[in-house]
Amino acid sequence: MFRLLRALCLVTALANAGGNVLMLFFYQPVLELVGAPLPRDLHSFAFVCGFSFTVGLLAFLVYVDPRRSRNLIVIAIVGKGLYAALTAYFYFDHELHGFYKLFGIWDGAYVVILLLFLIHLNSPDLAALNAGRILPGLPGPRPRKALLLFYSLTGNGTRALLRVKAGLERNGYSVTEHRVEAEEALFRFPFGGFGKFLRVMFRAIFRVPARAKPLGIPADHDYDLIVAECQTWFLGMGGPMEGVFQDPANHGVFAGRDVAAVVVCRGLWRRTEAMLVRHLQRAGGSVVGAASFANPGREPMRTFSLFFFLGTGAPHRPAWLGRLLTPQYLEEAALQKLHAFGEALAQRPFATPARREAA
Amino acid sequence: MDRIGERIGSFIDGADWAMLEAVWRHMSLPPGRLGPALALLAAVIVVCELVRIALCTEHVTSRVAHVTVCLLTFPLQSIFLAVVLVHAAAAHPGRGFINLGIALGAYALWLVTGQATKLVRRPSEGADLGFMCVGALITFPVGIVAALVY
Repeated sequence: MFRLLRALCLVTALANAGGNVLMLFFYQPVLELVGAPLPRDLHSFAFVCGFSFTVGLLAFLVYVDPRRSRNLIVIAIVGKGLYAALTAYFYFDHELHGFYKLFGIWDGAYVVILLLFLIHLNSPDLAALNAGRILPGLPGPRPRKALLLFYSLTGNGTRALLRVKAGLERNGYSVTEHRVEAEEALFRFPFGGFGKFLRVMFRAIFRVPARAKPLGIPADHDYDLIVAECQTWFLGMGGPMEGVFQDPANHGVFAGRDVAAVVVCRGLWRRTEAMLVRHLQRAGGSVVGAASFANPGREPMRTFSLFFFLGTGAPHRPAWLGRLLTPQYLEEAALQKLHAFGEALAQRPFATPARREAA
Repeated sequence: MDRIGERIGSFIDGADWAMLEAVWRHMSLPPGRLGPALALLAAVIVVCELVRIALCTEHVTSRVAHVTVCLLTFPLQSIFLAVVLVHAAAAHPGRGFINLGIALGAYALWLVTGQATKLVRRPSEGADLGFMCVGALITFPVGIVAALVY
């Protein structure tokens, strides 16, 4: 897919840069050939050719080094999007000749292609972790002690981490669990009213910090692995868990240690995982693995079941909806994968220069 | 002071809103010129979904980025389609249920677009059918009421 998208960048680079140079010099015979009228103001026509040539050059730079050109892709998307939109406007509302419609369709198609390329290129490290890769850990002594750090509102995260714990222990790790606690009583489950749920929701959407109680873990602890667990709250990290990282006093707990991320959610895990991994990295941790799991069940009942669960404070309620409601806890298959994830973390290789480079 | 006011007034009077007026006109899903209207709806739906997924793993500490991702998950598209349905029903009475079919098509396109991103990024979430259905609870009741009223 990478090769195809990159090749498509080269195609538009040649078409834009080459085509516009040709148009600038041969517009009269070309427009005559397709039966289009000559431009009404030549200077605007020349400006457009110059602009389009520049976008072609930009696409060529993306082709040369796509991974370092993500910002250029954004500019190309905006440029091509505007061109396509304005072409559509003048074609449909001002009787622009059909010849120009081809350029609008071309650029519109490239908006989609470039957005897909951007999605492909974004956060490649997370893509590797999502593929189940366990990265080499930091060199140095490993007392084989792990700390599990979690904030579980409904118990789903706790169940997930217990399986990671079992996997670690099976491979000789001694494991300590540390439950993160929110300072505010608002973050308790059941919420105790729809109003409180709304407050939690809006705070999650607008990322209003939710402070966590001090961890009480010294920076010179002897854990060689920390596994942090988080749930998705409205597409992002659960407030109190993010609060742990928003307090710089806690960064020493993660600094210079191997760390792993576990995310549990209804369905959307990518942003939460990205947030957790980046917070761990900013705190100085060396991320060696990430695992994210969604609750079982088909949509849209999975979403509505979650709302009922959060509203009533208990699964499978209201009872009259019976079998329509989906489970609110990870299924056994996911828990087994978390066990295997714990085992893989315990067996993570040591970093060598070659391994680190490969990672 | 009056001259400055006059200048500002003439400046505003001289503004060309034709482009926005055209967008609003196309949002009324005119029966005679449905092609550009459908292209507009499709462009909004596709771009919103792709931007959401592209932003998903980026700018993770940015509040603006997070609110944007939240809006693009379903409210923005759902409200946009609801506005289109009301505007279209009011502008061209008697076509409310045809417009509902168009909105359904937009939702199908939304789903396909999200799922298509799995081709370029795997594993990925793709479209979120759950939140899309929450969005449908905004769009379609509004559309049905508009269809019945006009």
